[in-house]
Amino acid sequence: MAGLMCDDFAASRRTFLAGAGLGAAAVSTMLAEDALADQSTHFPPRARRVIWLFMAGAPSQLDTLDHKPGLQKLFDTDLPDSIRGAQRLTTMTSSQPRFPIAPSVFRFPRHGDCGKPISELFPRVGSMADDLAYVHTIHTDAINHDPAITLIQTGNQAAGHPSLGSWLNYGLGTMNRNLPSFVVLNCEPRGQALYSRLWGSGYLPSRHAGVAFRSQGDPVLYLSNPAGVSREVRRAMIERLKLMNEAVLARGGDPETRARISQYEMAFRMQASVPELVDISGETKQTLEMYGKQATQPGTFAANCLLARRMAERDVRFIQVFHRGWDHHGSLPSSIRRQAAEVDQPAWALVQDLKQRGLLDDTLVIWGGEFGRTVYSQGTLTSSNYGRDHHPRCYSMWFAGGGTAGGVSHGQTDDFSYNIVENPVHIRDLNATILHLLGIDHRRLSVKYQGLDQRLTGVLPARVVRPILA
Amino acid sequence: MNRRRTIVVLGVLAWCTGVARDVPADDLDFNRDVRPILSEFCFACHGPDKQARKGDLRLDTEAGLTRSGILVAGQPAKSKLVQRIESDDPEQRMPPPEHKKRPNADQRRVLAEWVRAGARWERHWAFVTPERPPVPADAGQAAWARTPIDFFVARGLSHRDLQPNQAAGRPTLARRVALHLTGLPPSPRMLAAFLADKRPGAYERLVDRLLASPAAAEHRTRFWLDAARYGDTHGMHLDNYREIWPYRDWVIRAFAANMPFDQFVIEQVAGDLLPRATLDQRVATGFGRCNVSTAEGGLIPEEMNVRYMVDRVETVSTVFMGLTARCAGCHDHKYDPLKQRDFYRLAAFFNNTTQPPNDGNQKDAPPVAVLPSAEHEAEWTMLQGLRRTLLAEKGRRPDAEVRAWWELADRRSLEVVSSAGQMFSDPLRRPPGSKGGWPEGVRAARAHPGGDRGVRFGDGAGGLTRQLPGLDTDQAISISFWLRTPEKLVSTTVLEHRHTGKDKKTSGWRITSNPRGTLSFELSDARGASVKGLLPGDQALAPAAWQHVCVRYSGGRSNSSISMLVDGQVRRLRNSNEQLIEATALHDGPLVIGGSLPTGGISDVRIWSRWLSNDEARLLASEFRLRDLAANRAAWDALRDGDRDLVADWHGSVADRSQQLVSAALGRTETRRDYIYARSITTLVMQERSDRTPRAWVLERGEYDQRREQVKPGVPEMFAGLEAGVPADRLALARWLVDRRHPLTARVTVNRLWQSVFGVGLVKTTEDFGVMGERPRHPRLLDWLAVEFIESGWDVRHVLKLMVNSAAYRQDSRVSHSKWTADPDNRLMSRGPRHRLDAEVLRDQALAVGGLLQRRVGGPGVRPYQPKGVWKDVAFAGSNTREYTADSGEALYRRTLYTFWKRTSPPPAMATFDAPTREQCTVRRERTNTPLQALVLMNDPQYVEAARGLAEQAVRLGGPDSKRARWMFRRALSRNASDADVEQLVAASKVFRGQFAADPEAAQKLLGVGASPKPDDLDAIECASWTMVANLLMNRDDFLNVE
Repeated sequence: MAGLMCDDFAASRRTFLAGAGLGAAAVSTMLAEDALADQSTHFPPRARRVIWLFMAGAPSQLDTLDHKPGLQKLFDTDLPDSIRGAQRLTTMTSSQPRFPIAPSVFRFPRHGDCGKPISELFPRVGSMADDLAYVHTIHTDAINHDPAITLIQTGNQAAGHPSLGSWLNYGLGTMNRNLPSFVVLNCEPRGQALYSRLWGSGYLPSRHAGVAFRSQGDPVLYLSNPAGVSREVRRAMIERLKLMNEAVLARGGDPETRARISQYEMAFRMQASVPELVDISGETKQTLEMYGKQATQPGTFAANCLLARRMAERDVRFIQVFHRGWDHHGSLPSSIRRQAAEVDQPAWALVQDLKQRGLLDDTLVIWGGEFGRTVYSQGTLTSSNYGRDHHPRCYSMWFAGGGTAGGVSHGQTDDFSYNIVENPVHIRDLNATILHLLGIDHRRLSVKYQGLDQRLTGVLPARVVRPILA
Repeated sequence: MNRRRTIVVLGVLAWCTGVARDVPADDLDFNRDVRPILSEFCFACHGPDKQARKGDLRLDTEAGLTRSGILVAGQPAKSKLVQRIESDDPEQRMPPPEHKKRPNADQRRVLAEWVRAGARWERHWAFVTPERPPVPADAGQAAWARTPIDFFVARGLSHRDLQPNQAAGRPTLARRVALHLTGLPPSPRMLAAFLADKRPGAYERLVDRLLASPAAAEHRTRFWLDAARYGDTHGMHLDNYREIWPYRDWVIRAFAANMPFDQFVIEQVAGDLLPRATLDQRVATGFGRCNVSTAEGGLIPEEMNVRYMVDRVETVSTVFMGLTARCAGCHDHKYDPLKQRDFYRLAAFFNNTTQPPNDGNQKDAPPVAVLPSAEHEAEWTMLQGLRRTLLAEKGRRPDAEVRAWWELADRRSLEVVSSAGQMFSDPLRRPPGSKGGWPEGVRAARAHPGGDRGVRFGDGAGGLTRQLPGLDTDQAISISFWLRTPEKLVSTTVLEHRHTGKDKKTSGWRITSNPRGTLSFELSDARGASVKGLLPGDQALAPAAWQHVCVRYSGGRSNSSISMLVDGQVRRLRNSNEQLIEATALHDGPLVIGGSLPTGGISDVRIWSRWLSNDEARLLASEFRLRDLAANRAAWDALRDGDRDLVADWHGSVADRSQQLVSAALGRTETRRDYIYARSITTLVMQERSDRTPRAWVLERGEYDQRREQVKPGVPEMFAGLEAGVPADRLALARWLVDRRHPLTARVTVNRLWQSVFGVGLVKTTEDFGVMGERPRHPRLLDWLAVEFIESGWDVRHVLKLMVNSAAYRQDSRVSHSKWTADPDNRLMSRGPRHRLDAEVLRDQALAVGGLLQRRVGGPGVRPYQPKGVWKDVAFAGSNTREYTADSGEALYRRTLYTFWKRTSPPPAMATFDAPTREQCTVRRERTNTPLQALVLMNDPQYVEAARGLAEQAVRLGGPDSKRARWMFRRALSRNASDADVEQLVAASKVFRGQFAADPEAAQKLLGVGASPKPDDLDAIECASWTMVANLLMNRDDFLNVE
């Protein structure tokens, strides 16, 4: 129990996971050498890693994945009250005199053997339609960005709860020696804000928090030595520090000192491994072309997808790519065209690249945002232009690899993509499913905090979405 | 059961449940040994939550447990409780197998033993008012003990056959106590004085000096800010700047004055409700305003109101009572006797605020207290009084005069508002029958409430042009017009009076509307700086409807000088942060009316060079009603009340000289008020609505729109109630919290103080004193301290002194293997505290030993170094905390307490060391140990510069390397280096010297890190080498820890 165990979370984690199967869960100090996890999970995992392509701002399901051909003839007619019901709207549109139906301006060609209609915005994603599982009935409790994105990331609308990635870090430990186990890649900032709580560790120790890689300056904050300090000087300093800290340990006897010594050695290794990770000069021309022109421009979605693959190869467990700018209250057709153009090819390339390297089988790729958008137009509606307000009642996501089934669609929305007709999937169910694919029973991954067994999926029942599992 | 076996059982139990022991293990204690098992395995279905309760059986109360028939005292085999838990039959077994939780064999044995011993029930310890226990009798520790604490500690140690460590060396102790009390290492002078002081009581004198220092108050404040969830931004969505640092400075002053803790609580929770509340007491209520807030476009007001209210309950419950009240927001608490109704009764105390749910993205989200500069202070106070007087005067309605005025003459031709100061008036009414006169594309508007009035503009019509004289920017202006917003909302300029000079700078004003039906007014001075007021989306004009708009600018040269009334009602504006403009003259020139309002329209444009009162704006909005009344010659007696008010206002504006004077004076008051407001510091405070008493609704599952029973404010039923006969408001709540009989507040507070000096609380779960929280390691000591705290007059310093003066605290922190095994987490205080320093202390310590620390107390947040783009990476495009520009000079070296705290992106070097985001209340930080921390300490320019500062001092010292090494070590760690340490440092300096000698340019580069001037008078290679030695020293584990 002594050793590197730094706090009682490690102890309680052991208490709660030990009996439950995540047995040998050793120390979860980030990058702890002896924590290289070959940990047994609750059941055999289908996925070892997750890459979540998060579309922040909430892409319209009506213009991407949830094809509603019947709407064309209802252009500019009022959304029937029977459909809208007494559901709440944001105060951005609740006072609109009309709720005119805005059919998508995009075509939905059918793809693959499964014949899945996918918006023309995503030709390349469409070309791998048979590899993807689709859920059309994700729904959430929050109607505005800040609470909604916090909910999908942490299971709670208010700040203070651990993010999905930090839960995995906590529950499964790390799989590699030289890199963080939970990495966040932010694309060029635009539109809606992100918050550090989205990859925060909440009430888990902060070492479980995601490490945000950056496209300018150091890829990891404070990674580089100060100007004028070479790797050799740093090596000399760390070697000397080790000698001195060993003396501190001998004198004081605090095992934390031993942990400190190894953290400095890991930091030194990271100073080499992280630059190696982000150095794409060794990628073939063919690979770079697959991800598209932007693959070599740091901070783009394409570059981040390529980085995500490099991280997956190096066994980073949870990689979250945030692509922003999907909050299309107005001028949706032109804006979403630009957004999709950035995302389509790299997302496709990532899946293909993982596949050709044999990584897709145990890497779960997720695509989607924090809520959906309304079928009715916010503001001006013309035959070629409209906007859509926030819609938490239903929206779509796709999944690839990591034990999900290809070509499967789950859940049915009504003709207006306004209400769920069958098979609703709450954010809780989504998280339960992701945990399930990683071999974790969401009910049994818990930590005691404020006197309760806290879980990512909270206290209300959550179900694994089995129909999308392979 | 023999004694030996009991010890084994309880030993295992203690490990499993975190239950701690300080008494002999031969008697079972319900609270310590039994309740944790019941709460862990039974309460979820047989506890306080009646909705979740199964089989009508509850085990959390005495009646439920002992009188339900499931226990036969003394006979475990006949007790259903034991039978069901022991059963192997899945139908019978409790908890049912699907719960996947079962007490282990030892826990089951404890339950059986407890039943055998008579099944005695006790109330949860923390819900019983603490009584002062006797200090344990001296068992030979008298020579060792220094404060009563030591007798409790010694007793606990002796039960485990442990001996305390010897006292730490004086230098080590000086560093420890300085870091714990002030968050800074001792200054060389203070250290030298202490080491030279050979008289008895030298240590106590050091403690007194430390506690009296401003640094001690700052350090206490730093802990408090985590609990209060203090931040310099709103915390959600845009996460704009909010001004509330005067609250932080209030906390510093309170600690500096050692304000009694009960007063400290009362002023923060309800300072505004104290009789004759002072400005300072109102500032203190910033505690209640530190919650995160939003102005997200689609926010649903009641949802946010509820969220803010819940946050306040959660904070007050956690900080003062150690209660995890949040659980009860959705259902009765599963473990503690806290009902859902209790939660909403607590919530009601906070549900009567004047704070709008939308923070408007502005720094001064109301309600605020205004702190004028010394220059304006007297005038500000005078203006407040004057304004009250004038408003009272304005409210007077001389009915007889008004009646006489109304009945005597024909009022049809009168203006509705006094034309005093009127500069412009054009009804925009086409002369009857005429066709010409208006430019191409200008057409008559439709459906005007005043009949045939107004114009609209086709595409490219370009608007109408009129001449208008320019005003000065320090003069008031009021602009009144009717506007019909188009059916399809578009961006358009409604009115514009601007001039672009030769320097391309545009001055003057304009009113624009945007596609969401919002209006904005912008006024620019001759230099092009501007102030702006914007109707936010939730205040927008209705589409395709005629509305009366009155835009006012008081002449205060600030955003807050702008106000708007729509249909005679004041609308809340979003004017984000204060912009200021200069007093300049504006050009005469064309006023352009309308531009493109194809389906809308505009009429009756009138402009005054004075500030119209609210009444006057309402008269203008009611003009057509008044004209009807006048045309009909309605008799006074036949008028409705509302109409009489209108007529009275009309009379006041156009015929009552004294009212006109009052209006004029009020206008001037507004000008000065807005002027001073915009140039003052503001701070967020609490304020009660005066139009109703506090109440809340029980919300089903905590959902804002699922209102059930309405409740009045009150405290949870498990406690004694509020003082009788006083109104149930926040003040009553605050006083109740610090009532001597309150079982929790004093305990929770002394526990937090203990945590701050010993590294971990007597109750480790600082945030949870409920049944699921940890039981105190030394319950009697905790109670003794709590009562001592209360009886000392809630004297924080007194309690801290008791702690740090104790022999337990003064022990050496070194730990042998055997002691580690016996007391791994030092919960028995078998040695002195050793733990990693908090994020802020690490930085402050580095600045101090580097000779860089600036000691100014208080003031707005500062921006030290931060890697480029950290804010921008996440911030909303329109956020005013998107661009981070580091400060220069002194501000780079202030204590970390003053670092500007953006809550959605806190300072990364702080977050890496477990500083919370301050988005919600935090009373305990984790202490992790990660490679990212090593990277910060080695590479962050702040730490590199501090190392350089330490090196410079050593190099200037001259002498042999060993002298420098010794000096540097002592400055960093306050103690003398061992010869081995010196050897290491000297050897390191030689290695670095060799490396930099081979690359002198690298030395120059290293010395260029940080903004402080490069030591050009010193040898660069020497300086760089010693900078690396300092960097090495400042990464040593004993430098990063208090020990």
